[in-house]
Amino acid sequence: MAHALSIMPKDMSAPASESPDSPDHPVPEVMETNTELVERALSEYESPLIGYAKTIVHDLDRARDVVQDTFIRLYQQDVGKVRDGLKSWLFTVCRNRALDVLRKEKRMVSTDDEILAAEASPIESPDQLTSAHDRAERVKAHISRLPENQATCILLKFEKGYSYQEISDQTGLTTGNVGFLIHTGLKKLRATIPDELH
Amino acid sequence: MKIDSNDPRITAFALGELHGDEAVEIARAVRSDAKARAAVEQARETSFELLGALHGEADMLTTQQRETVRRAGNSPVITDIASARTPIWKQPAVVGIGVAAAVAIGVFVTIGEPNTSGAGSGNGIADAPTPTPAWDWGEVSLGDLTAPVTLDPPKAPSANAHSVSSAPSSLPQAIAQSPAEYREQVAKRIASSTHEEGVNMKGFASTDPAWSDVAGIGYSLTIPQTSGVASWPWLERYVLRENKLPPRHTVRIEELVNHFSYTPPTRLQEGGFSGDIEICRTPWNPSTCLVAVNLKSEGGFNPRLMVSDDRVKQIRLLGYTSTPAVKPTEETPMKRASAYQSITNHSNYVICELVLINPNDTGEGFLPIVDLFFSDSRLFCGKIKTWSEVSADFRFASTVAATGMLLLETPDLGNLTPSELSRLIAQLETSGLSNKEHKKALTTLKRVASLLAN
Repeated sequence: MAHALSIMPKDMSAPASESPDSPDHPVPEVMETNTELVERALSEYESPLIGYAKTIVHDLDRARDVVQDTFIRLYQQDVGKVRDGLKSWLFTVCRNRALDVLRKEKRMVSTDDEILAAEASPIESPDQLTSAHDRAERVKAHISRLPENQATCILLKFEKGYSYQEISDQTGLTTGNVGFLIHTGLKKLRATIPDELH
Repeated sequence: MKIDSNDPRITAFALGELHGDEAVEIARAVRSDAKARAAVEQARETSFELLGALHGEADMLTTQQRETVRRAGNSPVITDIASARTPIWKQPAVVGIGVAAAVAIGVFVTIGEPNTSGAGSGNGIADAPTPTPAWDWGEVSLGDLTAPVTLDPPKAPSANAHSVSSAPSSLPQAIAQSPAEYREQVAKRIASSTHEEGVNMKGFASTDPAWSDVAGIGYSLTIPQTSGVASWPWLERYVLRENKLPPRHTVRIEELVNHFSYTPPTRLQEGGFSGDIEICRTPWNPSTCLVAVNLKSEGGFNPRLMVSDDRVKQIRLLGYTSTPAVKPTEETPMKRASAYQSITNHSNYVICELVLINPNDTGEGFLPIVDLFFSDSRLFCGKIKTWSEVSADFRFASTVAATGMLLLETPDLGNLTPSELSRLIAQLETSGLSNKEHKKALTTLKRVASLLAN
C-alpha cells in the first residue's frame, strides 16, 4: 500500500557513522579464527573505514582500494593480538595506507601529466544530476509501497544513515523489530525494484 | 552451524549492526556455509544499490573487492602450507619405497624428540649460527629428515631467534639452529641410501604450477616461508653417481632452489622479518617476467605479495605444488599447522613468473608491479631489469628453477631448452659467482643440461 513518507530525524546533519574516536564494539567472548575475524571486521567496520579513508584521499574508489588493502593486511595478523584492539588497528592501518596513496599521487603529479589530463572531470553534468535525482525518486517510490513501518526503517537506515538503535529511539520500535522490518523490507525491494534502477 | 536465510541477523550482519558473539556466529556461518554467505552478499548488494540511488554512492566495498579480501585469506599457498600433509612415501600405496619417494613431499607438522616422527624444515638458510652438538641427527629417520616440516610448538617469538645457542629439543629447532648441518645430513643420507627399487611413480603428485589470473581482479599471494631441501641431493645422486636423470616428478623446484644459501635480505625489515624482491625479464621467455622474493622470518606473520592488476595478467609460483593429503597415522601423528603459532628462524627464496598485460611494459613509472608487505612495512618493485642486471643470487636461483622446470616438463616454457639452460649456466660461470655453494653446483647443472639434451 502506498503512503506518504514523513520522516524527520532528530539530527539531519549527522548520520550515524563510526569514527576512530567512537566507542569500540564489545569484544566477542567466543574465540574466532583469522578468517572469521576478517569476516566480522568487514561487517562492523567496512563502511566506517571507507568513510574515514574518503576524508583523507577524497575519492570513493581510492578509499575502497585502501580499505580492501587494510582488510587483506588483517589476515597477516595474529588474531589474539589484534582482536582486543581491532578497531584501533583497522583505523590506524587504514590511515597509513590512505596516506601512502596520497604520497604516491604526489609523485604522479610530477611524473605523469598525461594521466592527470586523461582523468575525467569530477563535476557532474546537468544530465547526470537529473538522472541521479530521477533514480533516487523512483527508488523512493518503490520504498513507499512497502508497509509504512518497513519504509520508515529503510529510509532512516539508508537515507539518513541511522543505526538500528537510533531507528529504535526514533520510532519507538525495539531494535529487534527494526532488524526484522529492514530484513523483510530489503527482501521485498530486491524483488520489486526493476533492474534498470540497479 | 546453519543459519536460515530468513534470519534477520543476516541483514543485520551485512549492515554492520551485529556485534560480539552474534557477529562471530554469523561470520563463522559466512565462512562455512555458501548459502549464508550468498544471503549476506545479497543483502549487501541491495544495500549498495539503495545507498547508490539515495546518496549517489555507497561507502561499501564492491562484491568483487570483498571476494578479493576473502581470497587473500584462502590463497593456495597458505592453504597448502597450513594443511597437515603426510609425505607421499608414507601413503599406503608407496609404503616401503624408501628415499626415492621421500623427495616428493608435502608439508606436515610433527613435534617431538628424534625417532618420534619428527619434522624437518627445509630452506636455504644462509646464516647458519652455531652447531648443535647435542642433537643426534643419526637418530632421525631419513623419512623424517627429508620431510619439510616447518613449525615449532607455540611459544613467544624470541627477541633474537638468530642467536639461539641452547641445545635443540626438537627436529625443527635443530634445523633452525643448524641449517647448513641439516642440509649436509640430508645430502649425506640420500647419497648413501640404497632404497631405490620399487618406486611407485603413480603415487607421486604431478601437479604443474598453475597460472592464476590477476588482470582486473588483483591478486594477493601468501609467500611460503619454508620448503624442503631434499631434491638437490636427490638430483645429484642420480646425475653424479649414475649419470642419469631422476624420474620425472621426484624433484621439486622449490627444493632445488632452497637447498642453497642466499644473501640474507635487508631492504624490508620489521620485527623478526626481512625481505627483498627483484624483477627481471625471463631470460627464456620474452613474454614473461620472473619475480624473486628472498625472505627471512622469525614467524608469526605471513608476508604477502600484492600483484598489480593494472600491469599483470597472470602469475604462477614456481614449485610448491602439493601432494595429496591423507589421514594421520600412528606413525605420523600429525598436528594441524593452525595449532602452531611461531615459525622460527626460517628463510626462503621464492620465484614467481608473471605474464604482463602489456608485453612491452618496461616497468618504468611509479606504479608497482608487485608489492611485498609484511605487517605495516612494504616494499614496492616496479622496475623490470634484464636478467644480467639482477643479483647473482637471483640469476643462480632462476637457473636452478629453470633446471627443475625442464626436469618436470613444466608447461609454458617459452624458449627454455637444454641448450638455453646451458647458455644460462655458461653466463653464470663467466660472470663469476662469489657464493661457493653456487659455484660448486654449476658442475651438476651442466651435467643435467647435457643429460637433458641427450
